[in-house]
Amino acid sequence: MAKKFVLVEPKSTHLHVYSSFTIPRLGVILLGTMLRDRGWDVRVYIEDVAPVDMKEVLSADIVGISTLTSTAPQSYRLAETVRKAGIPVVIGGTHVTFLPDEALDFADYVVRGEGEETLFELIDAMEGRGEMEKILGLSYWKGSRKLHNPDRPLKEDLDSNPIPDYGLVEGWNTQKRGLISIATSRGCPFTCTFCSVPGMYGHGFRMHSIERVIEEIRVNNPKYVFFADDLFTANRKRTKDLLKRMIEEGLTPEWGAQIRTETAFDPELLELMKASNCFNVFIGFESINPQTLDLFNKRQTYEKIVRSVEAFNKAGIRIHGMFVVGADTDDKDTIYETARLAQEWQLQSIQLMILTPLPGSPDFDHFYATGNRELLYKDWSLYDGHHAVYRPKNMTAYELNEAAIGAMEDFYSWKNISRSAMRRDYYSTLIQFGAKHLLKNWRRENQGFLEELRSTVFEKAEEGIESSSRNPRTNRVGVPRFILDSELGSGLVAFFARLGSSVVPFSEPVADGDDPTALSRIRGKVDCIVMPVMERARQGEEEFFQKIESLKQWLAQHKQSAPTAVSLFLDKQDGSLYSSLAQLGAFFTQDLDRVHRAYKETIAGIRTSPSTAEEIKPVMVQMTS
Amino acid sequence: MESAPGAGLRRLIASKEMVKEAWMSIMIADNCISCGACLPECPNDAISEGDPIYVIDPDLCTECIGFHDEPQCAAVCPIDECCIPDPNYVETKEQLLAKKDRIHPNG
Repeated sequence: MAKKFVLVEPKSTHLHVYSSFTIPRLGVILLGTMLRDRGWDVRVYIEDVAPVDMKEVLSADIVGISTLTSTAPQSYRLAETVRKAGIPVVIGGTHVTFLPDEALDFADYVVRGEGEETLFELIDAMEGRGEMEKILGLSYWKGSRKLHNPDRPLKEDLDSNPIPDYGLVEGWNTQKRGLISIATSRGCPFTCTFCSVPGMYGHGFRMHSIERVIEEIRVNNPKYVFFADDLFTANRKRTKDLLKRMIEEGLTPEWGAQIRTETAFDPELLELMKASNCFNVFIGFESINPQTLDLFNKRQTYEKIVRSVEAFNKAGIRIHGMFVVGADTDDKDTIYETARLAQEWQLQSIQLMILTPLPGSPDFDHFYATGNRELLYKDWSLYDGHHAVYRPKNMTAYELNEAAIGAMEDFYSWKNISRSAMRRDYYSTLIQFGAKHLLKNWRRENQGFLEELRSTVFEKAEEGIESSSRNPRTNRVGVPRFILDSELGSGLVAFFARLGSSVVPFSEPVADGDDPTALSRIRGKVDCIVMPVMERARQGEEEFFQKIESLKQWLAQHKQSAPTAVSLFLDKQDGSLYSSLAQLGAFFTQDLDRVHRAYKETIAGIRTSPSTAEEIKPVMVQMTS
Repeated sequence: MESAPGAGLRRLIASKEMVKEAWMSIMIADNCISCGACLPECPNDAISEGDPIYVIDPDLCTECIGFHDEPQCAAVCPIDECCIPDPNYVETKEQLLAKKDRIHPNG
């Protein structure tokens, strides 16, 4: 009897923009096809399509699990269950490629990178026909040690893979669903800082032959094809050749693909897209903010976005606009303006994904793997682009999350939906209505998460007000004199003044403890005090650092009697300074927009002030950058 | 939806056959992302990997004349306005054909 291999692609535990459109990822389907061709009894479960039958899973000889970052916790849970039942578990996919150590805590084997060669060498080795040590791209246990073999080079001859057989997917019916996805290439030549595709599939652009793609369309005969390439038009000449062949063969189902704005500027390509029945394009606009585009290394301008929208609109090709919001150069206005422009441009649909440090992306490597920036959450299921998991620089994580969802709600408004209906664009109407519904459910499901983010801003203020309920509100904030004397001082005074509050200076307690009176005297005279925090003393700042340390000690000793202290992070690379200021601002207003305005105006004031512009001390860098 | 190429496409193809007046060597601008897609496409091996971006040897670039309708480096480049005509190397069609014959003496 044939041995049984069960492949599972778990679904995300949270709702996301693609929840209502299942376009299966191809990995498990391809591997399932290859296994079947080699005589295995194969089951393929894509949880977004149909529930996983655990009876099948637990009666397998080997179980393979494919995972993304946001599905990692779910995948690990499944892997643990299977492993406990004594069945070997192989795990693969982007997330575990970059974090194989983590994955080995739950699985027996990790297939890193592209899996089609590694998996079969692994099966051979498991059956005694090869050595684990020699399998490139494999991580595994040897006794109690985790071993990571060298990486496997990327697969060059893509055509040697069989056509993925959708018939293997439990619960899938291509004719009923009408759509499938086909990968015609792998890799992306660009290096956007938030993206893990080049890390996984490389910069080189590897392609299936045109004959092969034509055959794949012919075999599946769908109403709609999603070309699953990371960048369908990376090689325009080849894309044109493919589209010409589709036209010649009369194989022109409706199709969509991920592309860049440049695609619109090649008139021949645009004509061919139309002629070959392109239905919609998924364009990674990423940002309307030129600074953010540069920060992302997107190599695209705002002007090109506008030009490409015009060209596609003129060609009658619908646009799904993909944006990443929450970069250090963005604020709330950027996000809402994105949704407004998307309406003005009559995009069919949009996704505003919150910038997320995905393992494998340059951002993750530079900022988070190094510890230069702090992650607010390490629960990978939140890494789906709909949850803020870090501190942005010009808004709080709470505001970022609210704005990303709120701006999408603005876009999927009744007004916009009815406008689509008026244009008799019923498909868009349906999509937009679906998205509106999804957002409503998202809010319901994530109310607790948003509440938690909100409380990080307001918690201190609410506590402070409660504990000093017998004291009248003073609308004053205590700030150590050495902070007021620093470059930051005038900025802080101006910031609080804009919130209608005034600054009361206090002198720092002396280390030997002979005069802590100054600080104790302001109790009851202020609503809170600013407690500066620096992680380490840099050269020339030792004295400053010492003062902070003694203040910290004094506060620790006088917890009961001291006014509520709010940490003001001075030297962190992320948005901690802004978060601190928002927490302080929350003592004087509930309106975070007002806090933001005060912050912006204060920075503008500092920038125009000639005396500080030239000789900014390290401590000030945070406020002006 | 018609399955044959549309009228616009036919017009476009026709326009490409129009007589071109100015010929120039192609150069790679500094917005090159060094993906290397152009390297295998050049019929004259004029492209090499430079630091930090790829470079075209103007002595070897013939705008693909005699081989293709358009310069292949530009046709496969993922960036627009990257493989662009180099105004420092204006040549006539005859000069380019002569260059091609020199590079490929056996046709």
